[in-house]
Amino acid sequence: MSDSETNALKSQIQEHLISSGNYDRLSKALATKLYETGWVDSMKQAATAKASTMDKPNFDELNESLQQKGMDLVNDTVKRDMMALIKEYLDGVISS
Amino acid sequence: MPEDIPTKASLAISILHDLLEKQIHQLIVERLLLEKQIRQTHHDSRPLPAHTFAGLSNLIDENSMIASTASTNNSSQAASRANSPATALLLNGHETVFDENEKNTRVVYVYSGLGGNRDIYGNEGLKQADASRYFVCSNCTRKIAGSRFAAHVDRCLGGRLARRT
Repeated sequence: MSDSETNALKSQIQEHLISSGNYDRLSKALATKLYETGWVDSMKQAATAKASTMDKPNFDELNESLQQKGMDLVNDTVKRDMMALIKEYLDGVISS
Repeated sequence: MPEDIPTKASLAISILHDLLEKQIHQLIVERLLLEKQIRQTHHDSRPLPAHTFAGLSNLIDENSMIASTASTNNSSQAASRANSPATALLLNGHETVFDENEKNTRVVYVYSGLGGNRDIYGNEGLKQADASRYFVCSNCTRKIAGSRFAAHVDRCLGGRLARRT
């Protein structure tokens, strides 16, 4: 399968994910888990601390400094649970 | 080639990455707007870094001491305090708190009782004086002015000051 075909497949899956309402469902599930594990509080603290030290706070700079930290801070349990939910969705959409 | 075909696992990872990115972006935007709002409220004064908030109440007390020291024209003490890394007193009576060790000087204006009607969070419009507020007596359901409330309750509930009929 070429790159373009791969990208087309990904786009198709993403479109279905959004139109079927599963994107919102997964998003809410993730948000809940992140709140419960304290990820939101840690990130809010980090973002506030970073923004307060900037002369002119802007999104790009904040995103650049916090994106990787945000990804790393996510609990392994949260990642595992979310992967299970996403795979469940994919199993229903993609015939193996 | 088999490895070109996206597996369910790689698709799942890609979707999870997108979901997490969305959460991070939302959070950054929220904090950014809050920071801008805070700076507008304080007229471009930038707040202290988070780690200094723990000692802010101590700094306010220290500033009160500086204010009284300066008012007695004890310039040597005031000067030494002003050179301290923690605080300095401005001539117009506003207190400036800064950390000299930081390249970016951060200033917060604390109006704690020296002027203005803001609380330490910069919120305007403090509560009205208790005397001008009315409270409802739960016994007789009348509206009573704050300054008279205690006496009224005492009479209403048959306390020491109540008239005996």
